[in-house]
Amino acid sequence: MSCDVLVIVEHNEGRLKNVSSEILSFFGKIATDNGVKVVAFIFGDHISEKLYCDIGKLGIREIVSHVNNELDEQPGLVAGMIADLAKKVKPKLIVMANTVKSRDSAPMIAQKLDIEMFSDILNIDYKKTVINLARLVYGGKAIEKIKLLNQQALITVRPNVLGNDENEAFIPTITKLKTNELPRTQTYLTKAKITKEKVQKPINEADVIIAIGRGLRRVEDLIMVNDLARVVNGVIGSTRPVVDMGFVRRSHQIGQSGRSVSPRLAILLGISGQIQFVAGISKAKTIIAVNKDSKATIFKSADYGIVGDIYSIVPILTRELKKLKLQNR
Amino acid sequence: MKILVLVKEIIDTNSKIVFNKQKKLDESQVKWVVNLYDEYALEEAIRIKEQFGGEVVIYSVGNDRTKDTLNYIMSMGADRAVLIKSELTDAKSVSEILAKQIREKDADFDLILAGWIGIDWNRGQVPGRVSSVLEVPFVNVVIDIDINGKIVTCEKEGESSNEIIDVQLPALITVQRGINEPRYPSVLSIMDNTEKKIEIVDNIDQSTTKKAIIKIEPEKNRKKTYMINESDPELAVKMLMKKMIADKVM
Ligand SMILES: Cc1cc2nc3c(=O)[nH]c(=O)nc-3n(C[C@H](O)[C@H](O)[C@H](O)COP(=O)(O)OP(=O)(O)OC[C@H]3O[C@@H](n4cnc5c(N)ncnc54)[C@H](O)[C@@H]3O)c2cc1C
Repeated sequence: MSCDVLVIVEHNEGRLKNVSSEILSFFGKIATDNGVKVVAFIFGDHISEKLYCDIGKLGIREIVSHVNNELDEQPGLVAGMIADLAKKVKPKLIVMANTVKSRDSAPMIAQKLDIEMFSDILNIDYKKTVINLARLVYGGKAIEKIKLLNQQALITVRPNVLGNDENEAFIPTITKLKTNELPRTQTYLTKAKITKEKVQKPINEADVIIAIGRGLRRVEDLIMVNDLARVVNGVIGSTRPVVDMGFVRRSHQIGQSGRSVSPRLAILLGISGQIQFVAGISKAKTIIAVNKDSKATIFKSADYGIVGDIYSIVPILTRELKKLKLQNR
Repeated sequence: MKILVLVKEIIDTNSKIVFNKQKKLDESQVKWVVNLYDEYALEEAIRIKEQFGGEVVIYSVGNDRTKDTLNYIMSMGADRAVLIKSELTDAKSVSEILAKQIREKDADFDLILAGWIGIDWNRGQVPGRVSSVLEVPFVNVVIDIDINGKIVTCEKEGESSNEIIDVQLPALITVQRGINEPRYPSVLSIMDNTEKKIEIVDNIDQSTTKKAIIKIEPEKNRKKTYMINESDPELAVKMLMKKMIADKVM
């Protein structure tokens, strides 16, 4: 068996992660349009017929699968397994999601295969002879353009950037992976998992983000923001000072020392627009900023800017968006 | 305990990023600093040394200029540093250079600490690659470290849950903001240039990897902002909704 593109699939207990759906449908479309051979690799626990079906629906014809419940917590073993598989199927491109999980094993895989890796990819232009990729560097101030000609490479793709292509559904063929004994030099013991209070969607996978800055004065005022988030199905993120005040969890901090995100819509409330914050939000498709200071730099990074007090704007915006939602139903 | 800390000198991303006519980054206008996350790693290393004794050694791939940056950061309390001068800057080459020198000079390390990502190029590759070459366990994005003899208990940050992990030394651990507050180097130790032991090595190895062609360009600005400066909030929101519907954003 050989292929052009090997997609490493991520799932939560048998449910495809959004970012993996995006990657699979993107390459499913390329497979149909250009005859590129794409193989999806899925591993871990809770792998079912339904999961295979879901992958087939995205335009994928071939799946390699490996059921093993130890792997979820052992990036060292995952890396060995994926490197072995890549040596067998010889893909030009190995594609992973840019999630915490993949970022553990990806550099080890690339090193084992002796190839280059490019993380947090925002754009892929796949042609038979050349693959063009783009990512951001220098705190979002510059774009790095990468041209792959004939070499194998590994990439991790940012959630929310590839969209969801509609493809012809297939019933995929399933090959069970035969693994050799994996070397255990890079393993550790996971003793416990601390689940964070409420299982919120990771901020980098959110379709809509409501980001708050120091313009929000008290923790109780989060109720107002929550109401808005609920109406637009959004996830709440924030600037660093708001995390430091303990209003929002660190995993939901946006920016240079937090997460970089690419939601469809970002509503920024009471944020000044320092470069360290903007670095993380600049790839949102549409940005609305509300700030009472008409000279706030955040307006330079926004598509829509309202000069005003968030305490008067947000409740009205929530009400109007709710109305619109009901109308469109 | 012998602790190695991987440190990268980076462009201060606060400085103006300017491209010259050849579309190359104008390096004369930028400030060079230590990668923020590497400072957390060094601070953690020094704290472990203060508690258990041992040695803290900085490893860095850079150039002549990097010496000044290392001098400064060493004043936080590192014992010595190894600076490997190299033209190669891709993650794979840098990792291989680091791993090779570590094997030659400090193969008896107990722990390697590093920042989980470099905020300049946003790659997050070198620590994982180094761990792979040295064949030691790799625990990524850690916010708490607790040493018990040859076992280190780490809290590893995840997306929806954190993990508590026991890893056996020798190991490579990367750290995340939140693990500590780095100390400021004391003025006295910054001024005192004589004592710092920075060993400078020239890398002579060539890269054999077939490399991608890479171009860096300034990021384009967003289209013009639609500004609403209206004292009546009801009206302001109405204007926003109307415009967004017209733009088909809603
Ligand atoms: C190395 C480094 C890394 C950093 N990393 C990050 C990072 O990852 N993410 C990050 O966010 N920051 C980061 N920072 C911090 C960053 O520089 C800024 O301090 C921070 O982004 C500012 O947050 P803010 O906009 O919430 O607060 P402020 O700058 O205080 O801005 C508050 C804004 O709210 C407006 N406002 C106040 N009240 C109201 C109201 N009632 N209605 C409307 N508007 C109001 C004000 O006009 C002001 O513009 C980093 C800094 C450094 C040095």
